Amino acid sequence: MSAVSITSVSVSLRARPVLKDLSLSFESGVCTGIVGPNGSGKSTLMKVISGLLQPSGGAVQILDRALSSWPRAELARVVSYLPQGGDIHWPMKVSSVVALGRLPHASDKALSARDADAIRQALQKCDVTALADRPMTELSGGEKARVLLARALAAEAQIILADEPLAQLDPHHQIHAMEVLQAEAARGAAVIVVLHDLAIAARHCERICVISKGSLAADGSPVEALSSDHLRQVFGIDAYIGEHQGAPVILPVRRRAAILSV
Amino acid sequence: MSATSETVSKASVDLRLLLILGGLVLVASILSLFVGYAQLPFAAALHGLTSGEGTEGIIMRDIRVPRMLLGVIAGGALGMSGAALQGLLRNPLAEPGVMGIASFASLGAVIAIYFGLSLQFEMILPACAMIGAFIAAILLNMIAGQGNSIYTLVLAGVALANLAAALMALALNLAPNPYAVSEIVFWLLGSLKDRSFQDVLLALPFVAIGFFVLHGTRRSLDALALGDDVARSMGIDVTSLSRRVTLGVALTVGASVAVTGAIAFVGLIVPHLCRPFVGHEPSRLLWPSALGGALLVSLADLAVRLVPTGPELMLGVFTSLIGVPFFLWLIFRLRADSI
Repeated sequence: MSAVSITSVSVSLRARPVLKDLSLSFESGVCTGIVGPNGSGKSTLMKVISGLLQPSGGAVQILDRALSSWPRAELARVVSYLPQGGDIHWPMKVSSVVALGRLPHASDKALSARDADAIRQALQKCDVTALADRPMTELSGGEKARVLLARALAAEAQIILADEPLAQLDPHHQIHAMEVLQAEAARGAAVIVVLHDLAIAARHCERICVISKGSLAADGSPVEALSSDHLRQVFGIDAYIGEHQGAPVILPVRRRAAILSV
Repeated sequence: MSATSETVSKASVDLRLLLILGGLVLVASILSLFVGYAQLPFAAALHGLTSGEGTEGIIMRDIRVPRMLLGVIAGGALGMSGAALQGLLRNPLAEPGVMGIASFASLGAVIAIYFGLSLQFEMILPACAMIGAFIAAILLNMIAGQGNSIYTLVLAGVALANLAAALMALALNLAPNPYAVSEIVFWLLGSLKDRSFQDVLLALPFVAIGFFVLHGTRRSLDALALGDDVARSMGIDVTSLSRRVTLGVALTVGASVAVTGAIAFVGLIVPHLCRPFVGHEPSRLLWPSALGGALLVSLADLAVRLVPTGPELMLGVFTSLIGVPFFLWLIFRLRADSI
């Protein structure tokens, strides 16, 4: 059984096709990286899976059940979505922001011990326990991003969608965030993460899906998906592809004249 | 630090805040019973209040008690609706008065008076005021709901308030008799003067239902702080949330404006002052803002009675005189923050 399965999904935004007849499935326990050039449809794919965007064609299944047949509240307990460049509108305290992640589980009453536990763990996992009492407005961009990741993890969802969670982070916390997401996969979650950094994607994801112009250009292990041919065709770059301690190292080195179409 | 103990401490912080504000509202209400134009010695006032006999009884029971109750009801309505509207629009400048919602409610009331509808059936007046508030809240949502630009919202509010003012000016222009003009002016300025128990009974049920509706939105307002998409991904029906807040604001503001006229800036000042005490959480802001609004309006109404102007200063004028500088200061601060 796949955690997420999409079949021939098409999406058009303002009459422009963004996803074209895309079929993909994601398994529980795997951390999958989604890479692709700007505007290739990565974020749209995440919105389709999270149920925020209705595809114009095709089918989406979450845990073998059609997405449209999930009640919204129930879906929220299963799928956790972290958007790109998120922020919070009020200077709320860090612990309160992370506690919002429990909303899908909590009734209107106060948080249960179970909720409190999940919040504490999420704070710990993202290394923001020390910031728990600080208002969000006092944090740096990177700290904020980690708090918002903790919010997404607090839901303890079976499917985690993270859209560019590393954009604001320094190298140390980039690796840390990826380790956190890998740990989520290790506990059995299906983790789907949009990444721009090919090196990070190659080192921390078991599987890479390369999206180009709304279609799947490559899908497989990092070495297969991020081969020099694919990188040249999809990103229009040459890259150094090597190995360090058994894990692939990919370093983009040169831009080619133009991106060839797939 | 455990998150459970934090939840408990949050609840106790909130309870303490509500008790303090409630106590202050009580004190202000009692004070307001013993302040007025009729020079009543304290003992006579107390006797009038308890026995209801004689002139003192009439002054206390038919004039001062309704005035005091209306201050609490209208202030509570404006405070909570300001807090809810700010949570929905994620904008600290949203306010029923400034954003034209109260003006539209006034317009509804003026229309009811102008066409003599209110003479036929009493409930027509608050109904028209609530419909006016509802229309304005929907328009505001349509114009400013999408983006988060503070200035779009302010401009939308200015446009709505001006539209309502123009339509009311039209009504003034065409008013068949001078009494209609003075009635309409009353709705423009807002006052608790010369209200009766009838007015209290007219406003209270709708304000109470509005409170109930707004109370039900509090957790969703928290989720909305993370943006529309995240809120929706957490199972919040954002469309329904926005409808419920609009309904709640229309009920509370419409019903209170129907009996007091437009009292501006209460919904702006009060949530802003309460926010630091509730950790800036929209859900925890609602009830303290209601009590804070009740306190502010009660105090303002005391002030207009104590300030020795010739004819009594209208309450709405007084709150605007305090509110405008506050509003400008808030805009400057927000602009400084966004740079």
